[in-house]
Amino acid sequence: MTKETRFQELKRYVRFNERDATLLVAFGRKAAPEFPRIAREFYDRIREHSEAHDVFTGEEQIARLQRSLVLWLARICGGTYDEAYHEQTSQIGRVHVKIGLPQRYMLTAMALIRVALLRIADRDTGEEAAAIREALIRVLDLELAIMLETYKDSYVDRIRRVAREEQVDLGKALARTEHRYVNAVELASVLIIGLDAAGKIQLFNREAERVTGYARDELLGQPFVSALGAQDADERLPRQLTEGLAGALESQWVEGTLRTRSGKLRGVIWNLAFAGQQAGDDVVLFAVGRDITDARAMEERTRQAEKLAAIGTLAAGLAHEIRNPLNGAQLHVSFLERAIKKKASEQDMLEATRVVGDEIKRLANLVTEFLDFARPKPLQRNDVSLLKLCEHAKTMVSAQAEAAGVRLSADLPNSDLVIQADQAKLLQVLLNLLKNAVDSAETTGGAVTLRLRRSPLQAIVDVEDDGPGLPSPDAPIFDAFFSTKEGGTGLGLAITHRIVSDHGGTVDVQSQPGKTVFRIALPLGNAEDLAP
Amino acid sequence: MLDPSSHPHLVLLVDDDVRTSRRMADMLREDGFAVEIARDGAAAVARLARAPVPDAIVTEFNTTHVDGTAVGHFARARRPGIPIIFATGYPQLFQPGAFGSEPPLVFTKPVDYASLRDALTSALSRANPTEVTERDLSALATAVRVQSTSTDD
Repeated sequence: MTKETRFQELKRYVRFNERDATLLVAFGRKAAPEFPRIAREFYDRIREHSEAHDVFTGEEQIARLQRSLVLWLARICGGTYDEAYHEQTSQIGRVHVKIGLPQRYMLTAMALIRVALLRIADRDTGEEAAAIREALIRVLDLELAIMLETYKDSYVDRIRRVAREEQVDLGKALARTEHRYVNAVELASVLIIGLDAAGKIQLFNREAERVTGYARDELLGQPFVSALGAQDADERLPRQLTEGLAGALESQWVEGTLRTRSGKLRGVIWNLAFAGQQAGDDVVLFAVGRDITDARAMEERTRQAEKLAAIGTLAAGLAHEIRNPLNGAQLHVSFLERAIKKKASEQDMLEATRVVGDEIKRLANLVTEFLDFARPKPLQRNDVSLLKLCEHAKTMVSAQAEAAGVRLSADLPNSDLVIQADQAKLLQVLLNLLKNAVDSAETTGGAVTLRLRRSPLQAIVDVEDDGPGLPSPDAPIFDAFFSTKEGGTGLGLAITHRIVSDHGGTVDVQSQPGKTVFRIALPLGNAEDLAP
Repeated sequence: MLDPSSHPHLVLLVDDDVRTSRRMADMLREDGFAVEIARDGAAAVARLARAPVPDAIVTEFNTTHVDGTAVGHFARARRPGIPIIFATGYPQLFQPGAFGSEPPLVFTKPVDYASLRDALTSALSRANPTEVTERDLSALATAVRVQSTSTDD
């Protein structure tokens, strides 16, 4: 005996039998002319309900569905209610799921059909009328039962499919995100090392492998500090790692060295980032490092090259400054030689000897000043009274000023200014500037003024003269070997500039014919904080 | 050695170190030259603008107001082919191509007097300088203004 199908079981449940089939065929023949009207009214009703109507794509589709409804009405009165019939009905439920028609409209729509068909059946008052009504109710309920059943199955399928698709999409998105982060970590040209709470390496990226020469397998699970010999002179890196692992970083940046697999040391700047105890991940601290060994070497080479260039410039200037006195001495020696040969006057010979002596002194002085400039002694700071220093400098230059016919005056404050400074060097600065000013004022028989005053944060010393001024406002007067004075070494202002800079101060000049002011500004307060 | 009885060649010495220039002038005069001194580049240009134009010029490169190269150009403009000798502490400033087919001689300080004098004598014996007329002077002065690195004092 074959197993009863679901359709057969339903038919048995509502007691749908051959008589019903026969009655329905007879009913169908009579009602068929009204099927198009029923279908039209059915869809007119749907138009009144926007949510039901919205599932349709347009009037063209509705016209097609109206025709389908007519065919369906003919089918339920077709007389054959086999498995093929069941399958066609099931299809209707699936279509409703597909187009997204809410289930409630299936039920209410069926009520419309039922009412329309029963009205037709009611027109007959014959003895078969009640039987036809029953047959109609049975077949329509069978339809509804099948549609609902397949609607549900299809709906569940659909939900499952959507869930499955979402699952797949989610998986893809996760894979994509992971791929992206892995790439970011692996392709980054910085070392990225992840440490667990015990300071052991749990993540070691490609750049870390490249820089250290270790494969990650060799280091995973090893303590970072000991495995890579990560250290620095004052143990700041290990200390900060400890802080970092505890989530209490004082500073994110720390410089250290790494010992590579081959034993070389590389300088690395680390940026430590605390990730905390995230669920499921034992990496609590990321150390992101940049290998600065090559950059440092490059900087060092550049510094060296600049130093050599500066030395070259100085050497050229020095050579010239040496050649001039040598030239003077040489020429006077040639003269002496000739004079001795022809027994010239003693006066001429003495004069030539004096010149040679002068030139030798000039050379000696040049060497002293050059060393002073090129290899200055470190500052010897003490409390220096600028008031006394200015008075002292003025006294020391007064004889020269008098001899040159230059009036030398000082404009000094009542209260003293005391700074931490190298007294001897500051005196040298003041003497340099005052002597230059006297030389300049001498050409016009003018005046030189030394001024001291206090600004909120600085002590200001001005040396002013009324001489002809600098030859050009752009003249590099603070460069070594730049000189406009005959017999000058060209180092005086360079040394002045250096000394003032070493004190954390500045020296500026403003010059026009008749008024030239050299201004020195020295920081008050603790000069050691400001100077290197 | 030149014949002191003939009309002596006039040499212009240009150097900021006047004391040494004077001594060299004394020695050159003893050796039969007529010598004048300019203490900077501007003074040299001013002297070259006047007649008689010197027969030779000895100058430093690094002279005040107008540099030695510009002085040399002005001298060549005044007297084409005039022998130029640079006696300098800055031999690296010499640009060999700057003076055409008759390049100046360059002596690096300290200069050996006898060598310099001999070079001067031999250059003067080769040179046949012709003086430029006053008519050309203004154009030449313009040329020098362009080349010089003069600064106002």
